[in-house]
Amino acid sequence: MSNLTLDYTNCLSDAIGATHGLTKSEVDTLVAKFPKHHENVEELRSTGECAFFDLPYQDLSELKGLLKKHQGKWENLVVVAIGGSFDRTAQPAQRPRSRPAQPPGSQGTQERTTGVLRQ
Amino acid sequence: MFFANNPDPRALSELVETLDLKKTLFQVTSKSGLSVETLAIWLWLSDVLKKKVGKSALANQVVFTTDRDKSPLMEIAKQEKIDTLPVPTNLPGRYGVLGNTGLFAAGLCNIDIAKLLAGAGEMDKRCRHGDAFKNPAYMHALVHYLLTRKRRKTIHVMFSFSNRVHSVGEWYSHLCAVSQGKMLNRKGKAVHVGPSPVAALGTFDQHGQMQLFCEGPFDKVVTFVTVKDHGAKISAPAAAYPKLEAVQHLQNADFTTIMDYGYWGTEQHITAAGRPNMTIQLDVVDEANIGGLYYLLELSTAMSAELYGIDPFDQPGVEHCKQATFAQFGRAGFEDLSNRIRDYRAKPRKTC
Repeated sequence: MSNLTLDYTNCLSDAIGATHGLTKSEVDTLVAKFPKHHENVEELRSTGECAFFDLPYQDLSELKGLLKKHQGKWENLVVVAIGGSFDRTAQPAQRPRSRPAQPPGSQGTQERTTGVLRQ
Repeated sequence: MFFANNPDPRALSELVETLDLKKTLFQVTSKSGLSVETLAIWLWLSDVLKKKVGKSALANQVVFTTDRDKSPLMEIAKQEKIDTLPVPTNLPGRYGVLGNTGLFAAGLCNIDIAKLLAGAGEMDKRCRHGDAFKNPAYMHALVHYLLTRKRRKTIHVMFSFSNRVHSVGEWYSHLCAVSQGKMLNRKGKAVHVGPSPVAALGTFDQHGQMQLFCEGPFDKVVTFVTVKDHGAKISAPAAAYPKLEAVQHLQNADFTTIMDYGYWGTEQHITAAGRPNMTIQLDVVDEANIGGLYYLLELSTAMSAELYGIDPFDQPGVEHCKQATFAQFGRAGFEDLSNRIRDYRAKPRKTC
């Protein structure tokens, strides 16, 4: 059983004032939009674009077999790796979305058209 | 456990000189099997192993974690009879900590991987709904998002009061930067979003970065991660140097108490200084909580991306840099980029 709590008291204006903390109204307004945001994350999950959602439920049998072969036999493990990327162009959504992912009203207002990457 | 994760020739040379190679297992992880550095390090290491241990070393002492369908490493694995573990094609490396990439190493260190996944699964069930007030993963994303968008807190600090949890903070810095640092949103508009993540260690950084956190610019939100039971109990002895005033208050001092005092003092001060902060508290550093914490941070990242309207799973900036390396190696198809880099390098510089 995991026992983890998140305490966000000190992010609110009651604790640190409204210049740097969030008002109840600001938080409530966005909380009210979360059922929709959750739906969109569920949609993203359903496309199979990223398997991290499925990892808690994976079959460990092959891994366990290989671990059995190596457990307790080595003094050192060297992991050779770098980064952690994903080829988007080669890996479109495995199942199509039912609608484009456009979060309601949460696009930033400071849209700029500068900063195109010049390569 | 060692990480050959940078093509620094000195670090790599020292690694093979320090280790008894005959007693070392190597896990080579590359989803695509194309990363220049991983391939180069692997080619060099396999050569060293063949020479110093023998030809059988590769089949006995190496595991590849890679995309079995697409990775060129599979060809090498076939030729050298190297065991492999699959990385799903639809799993970006940075989200792979709870996949074979992370689990193999964890399992070798006698971490109970089934419990790790169970903790992640519990967090998934706990957070799979739209009631944000009852959802720590979503609340983490929501509060950070509002503080960034509406209060310009663009630096997100994860301040872990535990050495083990600090490494989760370092992992999160990578996840956060690559997933949320995006030029374009999903509509193709230039938005240039993304917080700057910082991983801090308590109480260590109370003596360092804390100075900046509590007195510097008001551009940060700090997430403390605290632990009730550290899994070990030590104390300073009783009655050491009874005539020395400076150490009297430390008699019998329990180290968990020292950590707690550090956190409480820091949290109180940073709050009094008007800086937004939140705390994730774990009762113990065990598989269930760590699995849950990793999953919470991944889900929070997915929700942050939803709020910003960006794709959390791509990394075009990283791809450009990879291509730049291919181009300089003269690989076919990158001639244009190769010329641009050559012209860029020829430009005059100001130096001193």
